[in-house]
Amino acid sequence: MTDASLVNANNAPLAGSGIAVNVGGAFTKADSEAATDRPAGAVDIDKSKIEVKGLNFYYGKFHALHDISMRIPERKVTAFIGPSGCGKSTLLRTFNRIYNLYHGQRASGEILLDGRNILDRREDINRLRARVGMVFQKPTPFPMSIYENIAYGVRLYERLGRVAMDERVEWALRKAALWEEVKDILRQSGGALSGGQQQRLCIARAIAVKPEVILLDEPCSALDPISTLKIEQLIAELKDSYTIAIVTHNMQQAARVSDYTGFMYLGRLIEFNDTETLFTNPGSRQTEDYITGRFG
Amino acid sequence: MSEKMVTGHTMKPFDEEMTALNRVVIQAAAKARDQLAQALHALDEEDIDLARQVIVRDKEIDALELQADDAVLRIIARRQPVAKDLRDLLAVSKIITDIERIGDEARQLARLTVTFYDDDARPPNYRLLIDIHKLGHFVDAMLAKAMRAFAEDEAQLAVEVLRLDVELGEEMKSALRRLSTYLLEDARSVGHVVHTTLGLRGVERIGSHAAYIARHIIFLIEGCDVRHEPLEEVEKAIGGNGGS
Amino acid sequence: MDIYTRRQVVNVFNLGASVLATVFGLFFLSWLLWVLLAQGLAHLNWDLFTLDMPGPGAETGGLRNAIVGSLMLTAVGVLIGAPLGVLAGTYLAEFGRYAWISHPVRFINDVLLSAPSIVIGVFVYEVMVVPMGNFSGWSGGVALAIIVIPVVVRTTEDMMRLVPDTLREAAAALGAPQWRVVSSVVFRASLSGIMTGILLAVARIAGETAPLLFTALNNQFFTLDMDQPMGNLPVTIFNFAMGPYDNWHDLAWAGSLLITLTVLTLNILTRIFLRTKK
Repeated sequence: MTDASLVNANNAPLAGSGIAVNVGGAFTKADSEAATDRPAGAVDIDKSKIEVKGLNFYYGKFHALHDISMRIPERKVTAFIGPSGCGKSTLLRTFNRIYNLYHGQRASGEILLDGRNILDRREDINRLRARVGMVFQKPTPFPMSIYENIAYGVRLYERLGRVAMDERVEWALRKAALWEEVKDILRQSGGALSGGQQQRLCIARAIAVKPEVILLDEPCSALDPISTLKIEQLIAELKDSYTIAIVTHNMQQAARVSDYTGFMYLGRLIEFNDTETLFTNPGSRQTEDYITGRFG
Repeated sequence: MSEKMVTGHTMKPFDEEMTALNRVVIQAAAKARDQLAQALHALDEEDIDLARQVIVRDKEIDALELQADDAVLRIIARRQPVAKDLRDLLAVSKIITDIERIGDEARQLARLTVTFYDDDARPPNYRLLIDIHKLGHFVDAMLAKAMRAFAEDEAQLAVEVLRLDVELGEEMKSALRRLSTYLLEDARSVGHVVHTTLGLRGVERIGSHAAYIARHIIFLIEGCDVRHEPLEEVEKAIGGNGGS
Repeated sequence: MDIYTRRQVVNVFNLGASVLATVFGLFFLSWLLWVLLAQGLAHLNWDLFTLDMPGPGAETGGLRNAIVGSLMLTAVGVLIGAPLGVLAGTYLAEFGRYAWISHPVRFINDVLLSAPSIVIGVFVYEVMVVPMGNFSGWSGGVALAIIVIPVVVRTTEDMMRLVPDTLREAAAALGAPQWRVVSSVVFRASLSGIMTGILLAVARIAGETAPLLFTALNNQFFTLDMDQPMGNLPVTIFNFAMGPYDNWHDLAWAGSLLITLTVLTLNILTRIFLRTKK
């Protein structure tokens, strides 16, 4: 059976998938018990940027991620939702191996970025991180001027003259919808901006190095609603050029912003589906309980 | 009529609001069935006063429709429903519309009694009205089954309503044939035949609305929109899932 | 009495005791400053900075060579000790976080921090003065450096640890290797704190006497030669205070006032520095 819409994210055919009438995509009302090793929900991803195969993650002895397999589609926004401690941030942090900064955290399995396994020991982690950027929950401007903040990442791997650097800084700030607000105060410290502006500065900083993937770890949870909306709009614009993965504990944000959504629970990927289907007719009972507020 | 309770939300008010909404829908359907029964009874007994009561009482169903729609709006605004909750609300807002239309058709049927028996014109022959009663009870059974499907979340019952709708189509055809036969026999009765035909059409529309209600219920339960699909497709869709 | 009244009584009592203790401490501090000012201010004149130390019986004199000597010894101490301290502190905070060696290093550092300075002086005597054959400015500088190092190590490590990990992660997430994260981000973030630590170390060694007793000793004459004994304020004060001459006593008072004012100024500068950086 080669019809892509009838296989789940693992490319395995679904039982009873001869369904003709549907709202969006084939689906299965898989019971939660049956979906432990395969996420419920079928979604066809023609071009995947990142492919995760059998990923397990440990904080010391604690087994945080169990056998995760999924694909992150290219130039789309993929969101991860789930209750606290489900492992969504952990999963995100494997994509740029930022966990390597700490002792005792290790991953096993494969994560393929454009086909190459980034968990390989020979992988150049710093170059990986230049390709896979990350924006964190708390805005973290460096203790430098706004200009220097943006230029920092660029200077790591590129040699740009003064004019070229000015252009790059302006480009990044424009892309982050921050240029108009800071163009006259580029020499001021990054810490002088408001919370929402600082977060957009961090996004501009991440964009400036022209990564291929941008990881967003709860980027709006420290921000007010208006700043949140501005950043969501930004994400909608950015996805034309970048593959985006976002972790959020705000389900409505995932619904607003993403094309695909994964629901995680206790370190397992319970369901992975296109967002509209997941929020109107999820495949797994657990997903439905979570998003309708019947959890706990 | 059993109640359709909603449970499980961490926010209890959400449960209560949805349950209350379902109650309104069930109440409206019960009223509509009652209106239909009374209209048929008025026709049978040639009771003009009863018919006038039915006409006036239609306002109650209209009020329930407004109440339900208002509740749907408020719940969407405040609770940001998704998945089954969202489908429930959308389905309910459509079901209540169909119920209200059924109420309107019942009122039209009551008007038939007034038309036939109010002035000094010659009343119609009893033979003309048999089919109205027969089909009237048929569609009442359809509506009852549809509301049972709603209350119990039972997709198979909804599918049975759709099958009954097919049967209704056949019955309508033969009823209309009988009317044409009658007209050929007695050309002076053309006025009565026309009114009877309109009455039958009204009854058929009640059946259609009941069938639509069934399709909305299937959407609510299964998540697939079967409003315009032929019966075989619907059965396949439900069968492939084993219902719920 | 009821609970509320009892609380009020306890509050008043504790408040009163705290104020009393503060006044007590401040009293002695102000008395100290007052005595220093009273005795030393009169002798704070231009001669102090232009004339060298008077010999026995000489009528006039200043503290020029002692002041210059102290400056040079302090400079040597900081120039040797601060870089070593900063580098060691950086290692402890950044690179050696999980290394087993960090624990003994920290422990020894804390011990050195409170080591009696005379012991350090004796040590340097044995290790430098004896092989060299004479007292010298260099050994004095080295002794002071040994006092500077643990202070700077401690403050550097503390200040760098205060920088949140999120900042390090943000820099690493851009693809910066660890050394770059440390040098261009963590350093810059903790710079004011590290500078404060160094300034505090300077204030500390400005007034140290014991380590200089066996290393730089003292020199009555003006000299810039670090291979020879070096004049310095603390030892000079020590000598002059116990001497028989009145003008020596005056100079000792003036010198004490000078040291105190220097340390005070350095501390104030530190605070101003910290405040403007915030």
